[in-house]
Amino acid sequence: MTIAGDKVTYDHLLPSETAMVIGGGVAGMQAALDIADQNYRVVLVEKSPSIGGVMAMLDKTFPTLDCSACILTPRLSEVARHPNIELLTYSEVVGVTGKAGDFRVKVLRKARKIDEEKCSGCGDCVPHCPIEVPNEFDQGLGFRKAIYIGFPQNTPLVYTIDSENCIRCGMCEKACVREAVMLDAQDEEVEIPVGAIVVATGYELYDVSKYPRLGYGKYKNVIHALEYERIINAAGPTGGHLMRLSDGKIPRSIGFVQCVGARDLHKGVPNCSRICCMYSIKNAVMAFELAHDHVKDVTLYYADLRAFGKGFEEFKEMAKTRFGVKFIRGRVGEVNENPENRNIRVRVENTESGEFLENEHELVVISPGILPPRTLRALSNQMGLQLDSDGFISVEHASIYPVDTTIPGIYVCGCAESPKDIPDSVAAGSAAAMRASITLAKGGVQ
Amino acid sequence: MMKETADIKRVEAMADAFADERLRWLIGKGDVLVRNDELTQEKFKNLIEKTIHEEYTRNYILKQLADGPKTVGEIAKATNLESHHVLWNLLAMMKWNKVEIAGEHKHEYIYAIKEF
Repeated sequence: MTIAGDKVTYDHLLPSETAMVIGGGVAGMQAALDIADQNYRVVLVEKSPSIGGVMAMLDKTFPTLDCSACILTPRLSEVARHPNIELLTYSEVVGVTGKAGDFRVKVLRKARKIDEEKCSGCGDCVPHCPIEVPNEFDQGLGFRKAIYIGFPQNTPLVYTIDSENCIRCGMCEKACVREAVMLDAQDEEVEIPVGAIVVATGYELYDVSKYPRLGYGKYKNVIHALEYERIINAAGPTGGHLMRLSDGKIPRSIGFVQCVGARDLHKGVPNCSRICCMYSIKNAVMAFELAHDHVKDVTLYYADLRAFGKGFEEFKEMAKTRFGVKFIRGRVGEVNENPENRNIRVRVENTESGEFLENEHELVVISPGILPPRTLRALSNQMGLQLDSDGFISVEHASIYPVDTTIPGIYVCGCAESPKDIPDSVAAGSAAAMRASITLAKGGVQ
Repeated sequence: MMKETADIKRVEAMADAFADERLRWLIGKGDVLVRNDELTQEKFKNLIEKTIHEEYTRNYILKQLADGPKTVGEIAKATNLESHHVLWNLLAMMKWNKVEIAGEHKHEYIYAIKEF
């Protein structure tokens, strides 16, 4: 018995009719929806308090400049309301046993300390919480309370109490007329029987402070691309007003630095992250879109431009010809700050002309490469999955079984397998869903 | 005269900080939480210091905005606070619906107290 009532069990689920998806980003959501639409049950496990993944943090998508939240929000809602999907947010897989058709998955359900049935998401508790901390969803640039939702479309729309910062003052408890607050709730481990598993654990950004010469963490006007996404997002910490962090001024000149934590043997990251060129071109275009009266110069420093997808090359040309984004081929050597105005000086060799340049920008945005999540190694050990040398999940055959892991009945999609953009992640999600549903239909026989 | 006005604003800002429920509740509840071992003395001390600092700074900035909308640069000059520190607190007050961006002037945003 927990504080919430009787222990939750999943004995009603039949492994032959149930799949588990681990990770609630855009790839995992797609996999869950496609399996659920075939009338199988799906348990979707997400470690953060909301599904949505990194896509929920983005402002626009490339190359169409669609509003990311406008595309994603209906998907969030579809997953949450689907009768065949059971959503376990704020939960982590801690152990897997069994074989294709009959796995037993142990899931740690971290105590949200809020009764999900009772919480209506009204937010009446928030003004009463005295604890204010940086909001991870805003990359630490915005704020939240110890009782919080990360973003307005948080799915499920249920608040979470952050045990690390909560001081148990009980103010939220008094403010909640629905009596949803359960400060004494404890973490709980449950065992779930499933026939197939899809791993969609996503990615994390390379820690760009590992390049001290690029000034991240030292100069306030050097930020990384996901911070920039939150700054230009209307629901972000600045309300979508482009500004630099040293003094809040609107930058007239912005430099984008490519291939940081990607294609760099010295840092142990030889692979190309595939998405950085295009998201930076999109961000460069967005600077002109958002602050066209102010922004006069946007320069992108690149090693190679990889505009390989549908419409990508045309988008790059549009950035150059219509918006006037400047492209300089050369890896940035170092940056330093002009102490008089806090502008950032970028030193680079233009490898096309052979010139050594020192350009001054009011804001510099570093484009980090992407890495497997730090927790992926532990998860792969629990499941017996193999990892490639770059740390992403290894597949049976990259060409003909691109979503089959080396363990029968376990599939992989999205950036858990390798860096991917949104369309490729969604396609891989659908592919993994189909493979998982074949396993279920055959009762685990391959 | 200018210095006296600035000093009065500082005192008023501190008074407003201690009148605010966030600080009152924290001080009122803190001792009980420490006694009940819910919170260590050290964590409580750090929390109180951080909260007083935040609430005082924000109320001091609000006092400047009560005279009319201002840019970060103008607020920093009037309060003698670092620009990035002013901005950080303005962003927090935007989040809690106390302040809004009301316009632009020479590549800077103008901040104003949010009217309801």
